[in-house]
Amino acid sequence: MKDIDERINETLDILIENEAMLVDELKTMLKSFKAEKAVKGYAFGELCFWHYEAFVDCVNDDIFKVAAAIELLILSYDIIDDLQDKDSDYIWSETPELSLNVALAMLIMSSRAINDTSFEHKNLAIQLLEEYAFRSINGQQLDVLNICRDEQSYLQMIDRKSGSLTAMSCLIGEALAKGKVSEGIEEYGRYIGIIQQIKNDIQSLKTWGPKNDLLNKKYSLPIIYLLAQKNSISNTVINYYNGDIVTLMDKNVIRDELTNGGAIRYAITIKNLHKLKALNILENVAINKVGKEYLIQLMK
Amino acid sequence: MINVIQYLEENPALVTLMKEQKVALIGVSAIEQQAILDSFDEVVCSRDPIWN
Repeated sequence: MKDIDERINETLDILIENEAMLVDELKTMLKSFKAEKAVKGYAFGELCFWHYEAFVDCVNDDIFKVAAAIELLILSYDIIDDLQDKDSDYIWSETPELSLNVALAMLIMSSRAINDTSFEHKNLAIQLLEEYAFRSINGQQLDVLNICRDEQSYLQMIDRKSGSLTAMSCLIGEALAKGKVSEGIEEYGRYIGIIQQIKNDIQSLKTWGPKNDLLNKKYSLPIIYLLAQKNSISNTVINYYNGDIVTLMDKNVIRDELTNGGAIRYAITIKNLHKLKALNILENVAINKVGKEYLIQLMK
Repeated sequence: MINVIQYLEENPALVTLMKEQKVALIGVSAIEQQAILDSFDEVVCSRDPIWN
C-alpha cells in the first residue's frame, strides 16, 4: 500500500480537479494553496485514517476521500487564521481578499466530498465535522479576542480551537468504521490538539520577530506564567501589554526570564500532563502498532 | 500549577527529593507530579540555537 500521506495528496488533487462548481480562477489558487500545504503533510487526514483502519477488516478506499475532505477544512481554517493574524509567510497572504473565497469554497467542498462517499455512516461523519468545526470556530473567536488570560480559560480556548479539530479527525474515522464514537478517543483526540498548540506557543517565543506572541501582546501559557511573577521583568512586560507607557524590552533579559524563571517549564509541564493522560487512554484502544506509534509521536 | 512550578524553581533541591520519592507535593496528583518531574528532565536552555 502506498504511503498514507501520498494517498491523501493524490485524492486532494482529484477532488480539486473534479470539482465542477469551481471556476478556473478559484481552482488555480486552490491548487497552489494545496501545494503549499503538501509540504507540511496531512496529520489530520492520517488521524482519520488510523481511527478507521483500526476498526474494520477491509479498508474502503473512500477513506482517503474523507481524509482529503478533512484536510480541505483544516487548510481553510489555516488560511483564515493566517489572514486574521496578518501572517505573511504563506502564498495565501499575498491576496487576502481572493484567498478568503478559496477558503469558503474549501469549506463547502469538504462536507460535499464526504457526502459523495459510499460509507454507510457518512451522515454521522458530516454531523461530527459540522459540530467540531463549530467548536473550533468558537475557540478561534476567543483566541482572536485575546481574552483568555489565565490557565483555565486559556486551556479551554485551545481545547476548542485546536483540540476540536484533532478530535474531529479521530472521531470521523471511528464513526465511519463503527457507526458510533467513543469517549476515550474523543478525549485523547482533543489532547493531541492541545499538546500541539502548546508546542507552537513555546516555539513562537523562540523567535524575536513578527510571529512572537509576546511582542504581539498575545496570551499563551508561558506568558501567563511570566505575567504572574512579581518582579521587575514581569512589571516591564505588564506595562508593555497595558501600553500605558513606552516600554523598552531587552530580548536577552526576557529570554532569560522565560527559560530560567520557569515560564517555559510551566508550559512543558502542562503539555506533559496532557501527554500522560492521552497515553493512558491510548493503551486501551485497539489500534495497530504503526498507527499507535504515529499517535504517540503526536502526543510528545 | 503556576505556583507549584514557581516554588520548585526557587527550591530546586525539592525536585531531587521528589525524584527520589522522599517528598511529595500535597494536593498534586501522581500524574501531575510525573508531568512536573518530566519537565525538569527536559532541557530548557536559553542558549538553545533555536532562540534567535
